[in-house]
Amino acid sequence: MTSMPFMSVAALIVGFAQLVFLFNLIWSLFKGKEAQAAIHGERRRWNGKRRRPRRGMATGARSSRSSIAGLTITAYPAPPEDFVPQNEPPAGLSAVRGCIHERHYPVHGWNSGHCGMVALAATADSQALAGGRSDRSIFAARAHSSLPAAKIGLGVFLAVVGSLFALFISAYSMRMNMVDWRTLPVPALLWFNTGVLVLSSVALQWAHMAARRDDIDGVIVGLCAGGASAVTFLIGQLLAWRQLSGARVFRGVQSSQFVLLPDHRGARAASDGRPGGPRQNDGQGVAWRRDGPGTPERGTLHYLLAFPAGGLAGLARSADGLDRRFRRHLSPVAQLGGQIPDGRNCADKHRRIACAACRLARHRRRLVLGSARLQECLLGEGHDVDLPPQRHLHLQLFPAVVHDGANVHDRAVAQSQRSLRPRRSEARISRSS
Amino acid sequence: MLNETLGRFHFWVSFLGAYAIFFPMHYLGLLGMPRRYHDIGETAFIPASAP
Repeated sequence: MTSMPFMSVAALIVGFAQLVFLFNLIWSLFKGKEAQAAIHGERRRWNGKRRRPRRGMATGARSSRSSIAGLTITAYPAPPEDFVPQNEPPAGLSAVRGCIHERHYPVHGWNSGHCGMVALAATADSQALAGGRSDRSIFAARAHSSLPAAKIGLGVFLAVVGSLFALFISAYSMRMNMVDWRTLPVPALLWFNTGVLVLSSVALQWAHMAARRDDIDGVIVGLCAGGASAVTFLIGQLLAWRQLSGARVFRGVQSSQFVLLPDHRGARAASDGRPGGPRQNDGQGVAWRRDGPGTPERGTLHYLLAFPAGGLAGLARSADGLDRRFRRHLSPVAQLGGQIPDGRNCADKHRRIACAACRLARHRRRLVLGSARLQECLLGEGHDVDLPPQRHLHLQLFPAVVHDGANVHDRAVAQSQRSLRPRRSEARISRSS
Repeated sequence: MLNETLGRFHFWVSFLGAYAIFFPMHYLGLLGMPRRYHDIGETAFIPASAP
């Protein structure tokens, strides 16, 4: 019971940490830095409407006034602050004079299934983008493809491989309990292989992060490093197998099991090659049934090879992320405004742009402002949003963004944020300008 | 505003310390220590077949 003092010491240390917190609390109460306001900018303003008194359940004063602070979309780059006063030009667009187009449309949202909020932005005469509209058919068309097929396939594959590993480990542990168990010699090369496998995973993760940074050189370097280390791993496994078979550790049919696991690894890492080790056609179940009590060391290497399983999971995950990243890069929607400058009177083009906008919304969940006829932006779906049946969607358009926004790739051209409706007088001024 | 360095120290020490306190108890339980005894004492009377 040597762990008792350890637990006591840990409890003492944790108690000391609470004292640190208390000191921090009291000290910062008098000497601490002053906190900034949680919401910068002005306070919420009254939208100019007198609140309609409710019958029945009204609890507030009758003269209380409400402000609309619903979900809005503002079509300029997201400001650094979380609130921009309506009488100031938005950050980064000081050259744009005034708010040009501004409309409020009710947006419907459901709270069931695949329903959510969709904002449709439409151009008319190349200037006025419209507000929001909800369309159940869009969700009906998208319902079957909400989860990419590649992700489903990867999940199934990972489940199969994971259960395979689990069966190997459990079979190994069961076999270990038998009386004739002997431990295998462990070649140092196997540890080297494990390290190489970890390196491979790290390299792929690095490529994934590089893709997130849009650093294509980093992606290439990471992918090449991952592939090279995967090939090194396969060669190392082959050499380790040669060592062990040279030491006559196993014979005949037993060797097939050793190759089985790196084979799965190779199928995943290289997706085309099989390791050069000799394989036999015996399935694993057959081999285990043939396993007599005289060959006890068969499962040991499985245990050794099961170490890199964690690395494999990370590898597959980063590969999935890479897939998403690359699809985003290759998406044709990025040049949406440039490719189809004028698609107003053609139904096919409309449909095509709408489909492109659908893909866009799925990938970026943002609006890209171009000369597209129809765009949509999925504001939320399913459990993401819990919206009342009607909200106001607020679109502000600035011509600079409208004309240049399609080329802005990685900036938040349109982003949902909380804002206010301008006062009625300001709205009128901005519309007339 | 609270000092962030001290806050982070407090968080990590509490977070890891809770594991350091209670995770060994998990293994003590696996070793056969009965629950709710403040003293480990003599546990040899517990038969080997006890769950």
